[in-house]
Amino acid sequence: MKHTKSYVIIAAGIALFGLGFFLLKAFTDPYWISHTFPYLCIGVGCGAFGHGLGDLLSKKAREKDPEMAKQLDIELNDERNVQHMNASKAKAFDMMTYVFGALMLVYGLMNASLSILLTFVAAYLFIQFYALYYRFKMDRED
Amino acid sequence: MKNRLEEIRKARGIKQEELAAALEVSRQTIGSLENGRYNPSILLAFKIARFFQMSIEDIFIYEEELK
Repeated sequence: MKHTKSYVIIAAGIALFGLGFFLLKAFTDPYWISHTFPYLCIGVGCGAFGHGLGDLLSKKAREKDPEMAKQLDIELNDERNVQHMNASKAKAFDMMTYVFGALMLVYGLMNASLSILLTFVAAYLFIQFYALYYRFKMDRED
Repeated sequence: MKNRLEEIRKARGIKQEELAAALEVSRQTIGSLENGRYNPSILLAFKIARFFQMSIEDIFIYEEELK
């Protein structure tokens, strides 16, 4: 069957959305997992449904108009567009480094919960080391 | 980097859209190349040169920066 993956994602989204509503109505104990789980299901369900439907509509449009699909592929792989996309991502990464650094400092000064602060620092360091790792990897390969 | 792309393209009576389609790049890329705002990758430079059956040096003019 064509587009099976998209249909599966749409069905999973609807199922999760339904499960979320069911759990919301069925369990009212605020100390059980149901306190946040139903909302999580609804959120992930909506996301999966939207992603799957968007993917399906895009695939169908491409099938209907192969000329437009080819033009879209050209736009997507165009070296100038790719270069601009990468340059804008790099700029956003630099900005994120400063913004997250400032945010960590502010949270530290605000005496925010240590577990949240340490998670934040770990995530920040992970991203920075990830960038370093790829820098060295690419240096070695080229 | 300067280039003679616009001059060569017009001399051959080719539209920007047609050149873009032949090279599989966007029309905006051709426009930027012709205006000298964008320097192509070596692959695209070869594709352009091959399309016009010329050498890269005949199309793109490398000028060393004067100090």
